[in-house]
Amino acid sequence: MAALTRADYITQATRTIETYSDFTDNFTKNPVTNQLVLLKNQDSIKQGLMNLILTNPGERLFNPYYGSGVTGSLFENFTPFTVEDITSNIINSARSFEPRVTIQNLQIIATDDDDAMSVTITFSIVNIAAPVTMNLFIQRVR
Amino acid sequence: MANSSLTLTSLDFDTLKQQFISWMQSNSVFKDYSFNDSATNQLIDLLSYNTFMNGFYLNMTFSEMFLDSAQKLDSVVSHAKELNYLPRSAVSSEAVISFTANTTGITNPFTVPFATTFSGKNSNGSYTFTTNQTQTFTSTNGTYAVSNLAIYEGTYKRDTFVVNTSNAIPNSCMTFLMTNQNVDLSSLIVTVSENNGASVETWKVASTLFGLQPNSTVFFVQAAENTQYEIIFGDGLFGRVPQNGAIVTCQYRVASGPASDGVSSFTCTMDLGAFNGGIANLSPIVSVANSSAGQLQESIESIRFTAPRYYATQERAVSTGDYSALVLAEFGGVIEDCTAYGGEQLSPPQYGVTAVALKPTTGTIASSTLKNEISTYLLPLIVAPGRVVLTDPTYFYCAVSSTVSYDPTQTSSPSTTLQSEIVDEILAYSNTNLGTFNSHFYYTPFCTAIDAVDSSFLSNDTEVFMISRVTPIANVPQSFVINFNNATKNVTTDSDDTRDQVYPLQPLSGRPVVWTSQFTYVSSNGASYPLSVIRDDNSTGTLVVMTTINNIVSILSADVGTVDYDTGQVSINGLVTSSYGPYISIYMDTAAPDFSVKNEQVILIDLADVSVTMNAVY
Repeated sequence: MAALTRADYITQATRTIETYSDFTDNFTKNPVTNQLVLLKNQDSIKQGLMNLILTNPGERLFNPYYGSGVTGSLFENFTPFTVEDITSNIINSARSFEPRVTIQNLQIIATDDDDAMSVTITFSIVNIAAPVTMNLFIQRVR
Repeated sequence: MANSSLTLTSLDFDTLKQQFISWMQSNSVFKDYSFNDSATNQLIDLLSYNTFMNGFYLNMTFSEMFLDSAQKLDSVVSHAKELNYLPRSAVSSEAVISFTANTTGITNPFTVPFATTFSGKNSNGSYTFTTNQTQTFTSTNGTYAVSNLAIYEGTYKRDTFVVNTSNAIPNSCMTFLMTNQNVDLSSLIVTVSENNGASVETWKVASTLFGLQPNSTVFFVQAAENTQYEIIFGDGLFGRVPQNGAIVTCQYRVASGPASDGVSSFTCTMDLGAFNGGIANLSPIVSVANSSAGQLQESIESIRFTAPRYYATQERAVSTGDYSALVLAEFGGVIEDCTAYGGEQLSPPQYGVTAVALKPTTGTIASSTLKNEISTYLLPLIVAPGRVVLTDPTYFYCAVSSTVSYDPTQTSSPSTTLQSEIVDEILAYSNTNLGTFNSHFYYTPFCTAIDAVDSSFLSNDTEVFMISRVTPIANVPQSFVINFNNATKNVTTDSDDTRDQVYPLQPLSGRPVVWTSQFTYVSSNGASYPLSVIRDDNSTGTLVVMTTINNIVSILSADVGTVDYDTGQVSINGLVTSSYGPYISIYMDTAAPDFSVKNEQVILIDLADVSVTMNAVY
């Protein structure tokens, strides 16, 4: 193990350990370095969770069970049962495919007239105490 | 910098993906490769899929490039084409019929035209049979006997093409695709109508360039895609090119293959009286020979086996391998196996002769008609015409007596089920490993196959004997010479076998190594002795006949033949029998449990000779 430097002693309390890192879905590059932009820790996980929610089962290659199927539910009649169904789908898919998070709360507000819904997920990241909240607005586009 | 540790050696998506992930693990920037929802993982999915598709495509492409590994029929056919091998087409069942026609108003001759239709039915359905040529019959009293008329299953179809040389590639040959896949190529007739129909000529099929002239009116047949066939005309140098605007007509019979075999009753579905300009009342049609020898198109595996061997013969029969390759290529549907060997190995030897043994697909020996066809086919190909002898297989059987020990606690199947499974395995072993020329019986793999039937089996104690079956004519002195081609067990030193159970009659000292099943023996004074058997004397190799009379074993004939213990040749002379089962089995206990066969010999395992005993061991 490398010896601690002076900087380590000074910044130790405020440093964030980079546990997770990913690039963005749209391959955004840093305009200065021309390198791919990195998403780290909770940002990386948020993006992953959004990918999971917006994927329908059967869309991923050789992994037909991956996805939550939420977008498919947008075409259903909105009832309390539909909301309950979507909630359980998100929780179950996160439990199966996103081991990094534990969902603490999930709230869905349906906008019947727009065939859309607002999803608010509060989750905690493994080994990180602070809860994270993520908002997602899903709307039927056709 | 490229990472040299990336190895993509699998054709499996999951393995490829894991190899990408392993490679990504060396990257310290992106760490989320292990999580399905990360962008990195999606990219890995895409790369894996692309690699998988490329791997699959390349693997398939390279597989199809070689005759040994090609899976698609079109690829195999294409490789065979390079070897000048034409895959066998479907073949119509052939039947021979006879009937009489009582006619009114018909003068000689009475004509049965080409493509006269007959209807027949078997368990698979109704089939149409047709004649393949016009035949005429004469009579002095108006009653025509149509005898031994060959008819073939299938109806005739025509494909017509117009030659258009204006669009042809210069110096290329014209090809015309026959539309039906089940064409019987032996029935193909190609006519070319030129000069606006003023010249109509039937062109001949050619299979080689040898002897062809620029004006030879010939065509070639070759396999095309989708199991179809096409005809191809010459290029003007080897074979004439049809004129521009000529009409090419391909007429052929469409065959149903073996499904139409076994039809025994036929009716004529064409008014032969009207055709001959009068009235004809036909008698019921007699089937001289039921329909048989129908064949489907040649299978992929058959083409894969036959094409290179056919190529090796170069359309001539010189070596012994040439004979079998040629016969199998031409008659592979009705001949299951063929072997050739020198006539000096015949008994008695015939020097300078090639013996060709034929094992038919159905039945045990090939019909004389088929032999004649094969002989006719071989005649122009052999170096010394007339020096080939077609022989039938000599069948030997393997008697199996097996005691299988098993642990009942390791299986839920009752012993009867296990017993049945063993018998099935033994017969399957025979079908797979025996039953063809030069297929020897090997004891160890046979026992291993029995052990592998069920995981509860502990061991098997299996005894095997070689059997030859004879069917002597009743009440006529008969002689047989059977060459088992395997030495017998040593009669002087052997003292450890179960012959006491197999063969209870032992008036002679020692156990026999050659013995027979029971039959009724007729002695020289005409007296009949049921339950008689033959065995060797276990010393000089003399065969004796004996039976049990009033519980006393008596020798009826002290010398009915000999056995050569070294060569396994059994000679039985002047044996007279009056009755026996379907055959008399002659058993031989061989020195080694492996049975070798040679030349025309074939060994099989028959259910009648199999005995299995289950022994539960707790």
